[in-house]
Amino acid sequence: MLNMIMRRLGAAVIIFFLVSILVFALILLVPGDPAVAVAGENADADRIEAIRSQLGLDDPIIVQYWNWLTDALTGDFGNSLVTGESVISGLTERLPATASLMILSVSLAVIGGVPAGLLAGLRPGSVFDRGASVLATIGLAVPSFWLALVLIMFFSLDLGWFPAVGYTPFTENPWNWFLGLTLPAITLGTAGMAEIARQTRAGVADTSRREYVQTAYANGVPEHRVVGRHILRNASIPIVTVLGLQVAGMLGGSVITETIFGIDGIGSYAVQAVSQRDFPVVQGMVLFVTIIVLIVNLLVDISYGMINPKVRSA
Amino acid sequence: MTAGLEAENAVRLPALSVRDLRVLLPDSERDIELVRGVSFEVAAGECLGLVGESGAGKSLTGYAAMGLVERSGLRLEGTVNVADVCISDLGGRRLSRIRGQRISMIFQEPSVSLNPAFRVGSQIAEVVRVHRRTSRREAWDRAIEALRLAGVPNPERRAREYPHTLSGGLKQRAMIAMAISCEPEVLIADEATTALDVTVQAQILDLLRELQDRLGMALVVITHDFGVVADICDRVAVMYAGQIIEQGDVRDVLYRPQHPYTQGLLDAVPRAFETAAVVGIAGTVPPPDALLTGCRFAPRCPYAQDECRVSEPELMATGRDAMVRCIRHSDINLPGVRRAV
Repeated sequence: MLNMIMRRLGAAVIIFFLVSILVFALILLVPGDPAVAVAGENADADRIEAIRSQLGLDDPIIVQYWNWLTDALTGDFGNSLVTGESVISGLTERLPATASLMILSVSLAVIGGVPAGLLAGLRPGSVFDRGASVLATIGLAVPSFWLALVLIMFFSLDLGWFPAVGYTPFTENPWNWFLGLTLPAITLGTAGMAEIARQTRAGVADTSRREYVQTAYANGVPEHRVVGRHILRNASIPIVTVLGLQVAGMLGGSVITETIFGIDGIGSYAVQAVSQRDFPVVQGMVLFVTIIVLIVNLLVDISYGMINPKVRSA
Repeated sequence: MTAGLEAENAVRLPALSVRDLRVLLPDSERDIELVRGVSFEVAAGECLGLVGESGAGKSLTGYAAMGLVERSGLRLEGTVNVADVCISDLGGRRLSRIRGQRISMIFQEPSVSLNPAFRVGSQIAEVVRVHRRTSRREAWDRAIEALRLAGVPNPERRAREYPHTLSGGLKQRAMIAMAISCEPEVLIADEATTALDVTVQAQILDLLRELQDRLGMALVVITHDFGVVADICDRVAVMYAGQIIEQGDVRDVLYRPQHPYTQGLLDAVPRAFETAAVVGIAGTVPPPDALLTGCRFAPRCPYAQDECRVSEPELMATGRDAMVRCIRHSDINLPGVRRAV
C-alpha cells in the first residue's frame, strides 16, 4: 500500500512539473510583447521597460522559468499587475469562500446521488429507476448559469428564502453562511449529483449480478448486509472515480457560479484576472488548482487501494 | 409415546424434498416454463445427481430449491422442504436464516464466487456470525476450522488472504468451507468441479464425499458429466427440457438406462483409451417456449414413433425408486454404458 502511494506521489510530482512548464509558457504565448500587452497600448517606453524587468523578461527563458518556479514553490507567485497585491495572499483570502462552496456542492452531490443511484440500481427497470434516470439526464443537460438564474428568480426574488448574492464567512455567522451558499451549491452540485447517481446506479446494477453477491445470498447473509457490505463496497470504485472528476470539474464550474452569485472566491478572482490580463494571478491560480486536482487524484488512488485489495499489490 | 412418534417422523423425513417445482419466466402472452414440474427427494447421507445438457434446467432447479430465482425476476411454483420446513413459502429474513444454516450451495466458478474486497476468512466468519450468536473471535476460529475441514492447507494464513491470491482449487475449497461452516443438512453443488483442472476435480469430489460422510449431509450434485455421477452419486435424475425424464439408482441408470436420452448422454461421455469418436446427440434442446405436443425428446430420438408425438408422456414408475418418461421404454432395449466410466 505504502509502495503504491509513493509511486502515485512520484507521478504527481512529474505531472506538476509538466503543468508548471505549460503555465510558465502561458506568458510566452501572448501575441506581441507581453510587456506591451501588460502595460497597455498607450504606455510610454519607460513604463514598458519597467514592466519588462519586473517580469524578468530580459533573462534567458530557462532562467526565467527557474526563478519563477523556485519562487512559486516557496509560495511566492509574484504580485498582481493590477493591484500590486501578492498573488498568494489574493488566493488564500478567497480560498475559504471557494472551499465552503466546494464542500457543500460535493456533499450535496454525494448525499443526493449515492442513495438515488443505489435504489435505482437495486431495482433496475422499476418506476423509481426510470424516474431517477430521467431526472439525472435533465440534471446533466441543464446549463448551470440557467439553473442559477431560475433558482435566484424563484427562491430569492419570489419566495425570499435565500439571498440572491453575497457570501458571509462561516466564522461571522454560520446560518447566513449556509443560507448564502445554498443556491450556489445547488447550482454547482446538480450536475455532479446526476453523474454520481448514474455511476452509482450502473455500479450497483452490475455488482448485484456478480456471483459473489449470489454466494452471500446463498449463505444466508441478509439483504441489508449484502447491499451495504458486498454490493456497495465493490460498486464504490466507479463512484469514487467520478467523484474525483467532479471535484476537478466543480473547480472549473465555480468560475461561473461565483460570478453569478457575487461570491468573491477563487473562481471570480480568475475571471477578473483573465479579463485584466493579470498574468501572474492567472499563473498562480492555474498552479494552485493543479495542486488541488493532483491531491484529489492522489486521494482517489489511495481509496482505490483501500477498496480493492488487488490494486494495493499492483 | 407422541415424542417417540415425532422422532420417528423426523428420521423418515427426507432432508430435501422438492415437489412439482416450476420456474416460470413471466411473459406478456403466456409465462414460459423453464422448469416443468420437477419432484425429487434426497435423504440425509445420500447423494443425488442431477444430470443433463446445458439448458435442461438442472442448475435452475438448484437455484429454485435455494429460493434464489425470484431475485432474477422469475416465478417459482411448487414446494421445497428442508426436513420439516417449507422454504418455498418463506422470504426475506426467515429464508436468510435457513440458507447457509440448513441448506447451502456452491457454484461453478470459484474465481468469481468469492468477494474480491474481503479476506477469505472474514467472508466465512460473516456467514457464521449471521447464523450463530458468536463473538468475532469465535466466528474467525470457526472459519479457520471450516477451511481446515475443507482441506485448505495452512488455514490460519489463508484465512487472512484475499481471494485473488488463491488458486482455483483453493477458492473452491474456501467456497465449500463457507457452505459447510454452519453444518447444513443439505448441500447443493452446481457444476462445482467443471471449472477446475481434472486432478483438482477428483480432489474436490473426494472432499465433498468425505464431508458428506462426516456431517451426514444430503448432497445434490448438478453436473453434465456422467463421470462425476458415477464417481459420487447414489441416485441420479436425468433432466431434459425442464423435466426429469429418468430417475433411479446410479448403477441401474448407467448399465440399464430406460430412456433413449440417457443412452445418448452416456454415449457422449469421452473415455480414455478409446479411439472411436464420441457420439453426440443430434439436434438441440428445444427452446423453453417451443410449442411441442408429445414427448419433448421425440424430435431427436432415434426410437421415436408416431405415438410418441401424440401426448406428453408421464413419469412412469418402473421399479423401486426407478422412473422413466418414455412410453416405449419396455419396447426398446438400451445397452447402457459400454465400458466402465
